[in-house]
Amino acid sequence: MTIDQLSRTHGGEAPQPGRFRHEALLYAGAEQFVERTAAFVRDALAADEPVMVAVIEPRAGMLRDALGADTRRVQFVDMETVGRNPARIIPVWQEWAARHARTARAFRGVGEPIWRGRSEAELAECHLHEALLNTAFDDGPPWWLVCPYDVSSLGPDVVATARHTHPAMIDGRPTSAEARQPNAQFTQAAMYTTPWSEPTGTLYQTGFGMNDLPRIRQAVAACAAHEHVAPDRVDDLVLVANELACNSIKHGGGTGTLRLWRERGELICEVRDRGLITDPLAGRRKPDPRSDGGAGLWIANLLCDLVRIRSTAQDGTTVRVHIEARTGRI
Amino acid sequence: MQPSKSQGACARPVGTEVSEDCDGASVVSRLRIWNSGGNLWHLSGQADLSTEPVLRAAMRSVSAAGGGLVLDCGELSFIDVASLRAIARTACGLGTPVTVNGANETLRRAWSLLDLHAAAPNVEFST
Repeated sequence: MTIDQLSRTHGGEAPQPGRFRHEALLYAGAEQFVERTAAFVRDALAADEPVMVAVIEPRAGMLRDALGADTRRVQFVDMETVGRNPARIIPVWQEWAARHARTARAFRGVGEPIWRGRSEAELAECHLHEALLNTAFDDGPPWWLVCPYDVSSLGPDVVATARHTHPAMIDGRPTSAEARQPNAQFTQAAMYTTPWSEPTGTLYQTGFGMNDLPRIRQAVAACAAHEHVAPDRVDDLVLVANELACNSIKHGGGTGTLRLWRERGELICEVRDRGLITDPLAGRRKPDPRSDGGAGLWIANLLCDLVRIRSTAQDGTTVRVHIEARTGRI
Repeated sequence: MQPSKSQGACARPVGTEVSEDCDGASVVSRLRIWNSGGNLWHLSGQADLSTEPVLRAAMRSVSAAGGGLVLDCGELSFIDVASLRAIARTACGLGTPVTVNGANETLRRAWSLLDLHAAAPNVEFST
């Protein structure tokens, strides 16, 4: 199975008891956000179910205010930090689920990875993240995750795509059965086959093999510094580029190509090889610290602002990592 | 601290230049590993995929010697994930306290992101 061919076994119908529930919660404006998410959280607390909320400010603060003293019983996670790169969100939910699956009958989450201002590339990765939540949790413990979507500020195409990634939409209080609408479009559309745009120009481009690793690291460091990447993050990018290149050498046929270019406020580093990634959750599983593999994409996700993967038998694997690079003028 | 040639076999670097010059440039992975007496080992240069066999060989020597380990990384300008894991594995096998000196911020952060504190809880970082 490639990332382009995720298939679904069920969905669209009524929620199945004892299974993971993943639903989009539609709202228009902050007031409705607070009303609907607070109702969901209070319902969880009344049932003694642990609940974690991962949303951005100022909505997190507004929800805390509405919950008042109950806030203490809710775990809040700053989605702007965790979800800057949406590939970092699933591991957070996995840790949460693992912790509560042992002790709690049921537990809930509120996760809002998509907000106004996300770039096109980020939005695409957010939709992929939403789709992969099903892959990650469908066979796991039963818990209920609602993903708020602000229909008053997000484009209609964003909400339309959410119909492909969530088995149902909720337009109202999540606790009201009437508010729940199954998604007939929930089919895992082939939205990850969309070709990437090619850069208009590159800052650096090279083929590489095992003996070129030092040269690549030096080139990435020089380019990142020149493009005003923060000094500590230059080292991060060097490590990530090295690990991606190592993946190419070990799993991608021994060689690959690396390119660097700038897109608006970001430096993008791309590593391409002839390998095939078959695990759709690659880079989203915390690697066993005692094992030898599985760390390259993981560390890329933790250190970079965005990581994008395309992998098919025909075209091989391409990984693009984005890192903030100030323009120097702002 | 540089190794002294007069310190005998133990002081001889067990790993040196590994990859070849590219286009005559001076960009090469040079990992040097040496023991300066007792359980004090030094890493300098760059540790990556091409130097992995050398690092593994050195870690086998460390394991065979047993006892504690002090690893000086002050002269190490780059270390990759596989090399960090090799060190953690050696430390874990030793079981005795392991101190890593002079580790830069990137090394420490990678160690933490890879959860190597869990794999080798006996490793302590010191400046």
